[in-house]
Amino acid sequence: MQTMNSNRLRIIFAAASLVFTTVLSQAQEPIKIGVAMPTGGQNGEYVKRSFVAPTEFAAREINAAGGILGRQVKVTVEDTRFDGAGAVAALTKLINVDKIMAVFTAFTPLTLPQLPVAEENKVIVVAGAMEHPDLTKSRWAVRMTPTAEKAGPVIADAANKLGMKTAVILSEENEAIRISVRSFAAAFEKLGGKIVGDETFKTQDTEMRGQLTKLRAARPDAIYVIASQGRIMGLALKQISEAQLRQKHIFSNHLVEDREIKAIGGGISEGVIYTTLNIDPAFAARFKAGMGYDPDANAAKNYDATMLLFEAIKRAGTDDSTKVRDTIYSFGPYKGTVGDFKFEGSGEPIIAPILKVIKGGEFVDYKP
Amino acid sequence: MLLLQLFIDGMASGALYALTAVGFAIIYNGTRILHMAHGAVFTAGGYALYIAVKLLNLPIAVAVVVALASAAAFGVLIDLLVYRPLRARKSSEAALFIGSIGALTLCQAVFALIFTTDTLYLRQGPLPIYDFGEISITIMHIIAAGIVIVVFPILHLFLTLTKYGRAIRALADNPKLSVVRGVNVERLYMLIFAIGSLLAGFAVSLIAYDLGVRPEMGFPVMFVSLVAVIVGGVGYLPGAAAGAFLLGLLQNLSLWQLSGRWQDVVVFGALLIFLIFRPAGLFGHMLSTRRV
Repeated sequence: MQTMNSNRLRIIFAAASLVFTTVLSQAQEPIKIGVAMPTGGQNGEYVKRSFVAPTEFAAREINAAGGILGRQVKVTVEDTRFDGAGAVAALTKLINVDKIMAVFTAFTPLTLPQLPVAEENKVIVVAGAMEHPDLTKSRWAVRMTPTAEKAGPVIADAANKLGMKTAVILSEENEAIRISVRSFAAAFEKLGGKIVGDETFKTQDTEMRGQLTKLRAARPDAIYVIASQGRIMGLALKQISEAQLRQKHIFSNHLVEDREIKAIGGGISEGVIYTTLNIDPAFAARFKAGMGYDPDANAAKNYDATMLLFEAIKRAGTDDSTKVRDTIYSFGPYKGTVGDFKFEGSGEPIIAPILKVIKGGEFVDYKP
Repeated sequence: MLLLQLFIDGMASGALYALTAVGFAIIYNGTRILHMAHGAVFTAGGYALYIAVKLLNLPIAVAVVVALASAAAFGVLIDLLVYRPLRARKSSEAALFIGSIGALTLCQAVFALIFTTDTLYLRQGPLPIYDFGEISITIMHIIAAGIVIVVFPILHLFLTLTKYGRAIRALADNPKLSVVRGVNVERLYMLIFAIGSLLAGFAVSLIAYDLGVRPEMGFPVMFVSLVAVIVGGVGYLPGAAAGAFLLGLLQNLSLWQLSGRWQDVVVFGALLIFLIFRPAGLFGHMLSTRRV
């Protein structure tokens, strides 16, 4: 009898140990997320600063606060290079080897090819700063920025109120940017203005002097310059200044806040009116203390995107990607560091860009 | 007026392309190596200029001399470390070409590791501009034209009047005969790489001062140089310069009637037309052998 009791106790103890060990191992298993972005190559440092670091910073904050659902967050970064095939290969590796439940991505030519792979494997695609409207046609994608076509009318309205009758456009060859350009041109002409020149440059270009010579001949009142990266935006502004277009106003996007423009210096961005989102000063100070540099709008959007994912995991009570995705899509209002978002049935946030102007090197709210 | 401004812009671009294209051509004609790592030499010169200006605080004239010397030394180093061992193994021209691409890729990666992929700027603000009525010319346009006007005649005199210059031309014309006549070919190769790289040093000093330095900045310049050499006529040194100016003009004058997005179509369309209808290039028909 005593032996039987002893054996029963042993069995109960073994079973309890097994359950405890399983629970413990599950509790210790980190929540795995991936970052698939072009961290090497000509804009690698910019991508690391404004796209990768904010996600890592958010993960560090959440882990320091005890993690999510008692689990730590593990971020794995893969370099995609700047081509679609590289982007797909990096995502495939993150899915098959690292077993991620969500991937952070950037740039239209890289993210759109990744979508079918992510959908097939039920991985959430978080493209915090991507503006191409097609992104959220996928039922597995989410962004934290207004779409490309929303900036154009805001700029057109500001130009019209400043009395600009003619405008030229200098833009990067990029699908999302061309959408912004088309929306600006349509809105500007609807308001009675006229587009008298439209030139483009490639992401890797360094010379736009020829295009600017041509735009100068159109003698525009205003120029709308738009790019996807700070380096090329800085060179564009520098060469606009050198080409002496004698325009009354320069309009642009949030890339004029990039530190490359400050590095080029010489007041090339002074007076530029641009679309952006407001960054919460408390977040900016916290980020600077942690990372050693000021966050730009893209950094803040990527931080918000990461925190939204973490909040959704908490709210869903699991890291099951389908449940987390559904939670994001029905999140409702979400207070981010760049404003108040709202998700109602998709990964498309309801948020509008605001206007700022550069005065004395500072980014201040634009008041017409 | 627009056309004149585009012509001036085209000549300025052509002058910069010509410096790298002639450097590339002198190396190819003299050594028969399609030296793609010329792009890495170009970038190395840029970083040398950056170090001299920003870290050592040298006056710009001294810094340019440092950049020129560094580019020349880097070119020679690539010859010693990459091409000479391959030549010693009697490697084919294809193997040397692959070696040059490997050297270019490796150097770009090393530059990125050392200096990061950020653009490093040597100066702040827009360049000084000179207005002549409706025409604007930057200081870089003027300096580029000045360098070409001074350097190319000096190069011509060196190649035609000096002992080493004549030896280089003889080597380009008939390498086997040069060996038979006891010319120290390896030493001559070093000199050829030094001169070709020095020319790249001039171009990168101007470009880096204007646009900053990045690890992969040499690749597009290298590519344009290669096209310029083909268009100008492989084997004929003035042809490389003419090809470079033609490309610069084509790129800029195409903007007169076409959008900027057509620039590559125009340039590579021209390349295809030359390859199909005039495979010897602009001046290739003037040669029976290659000439430096």
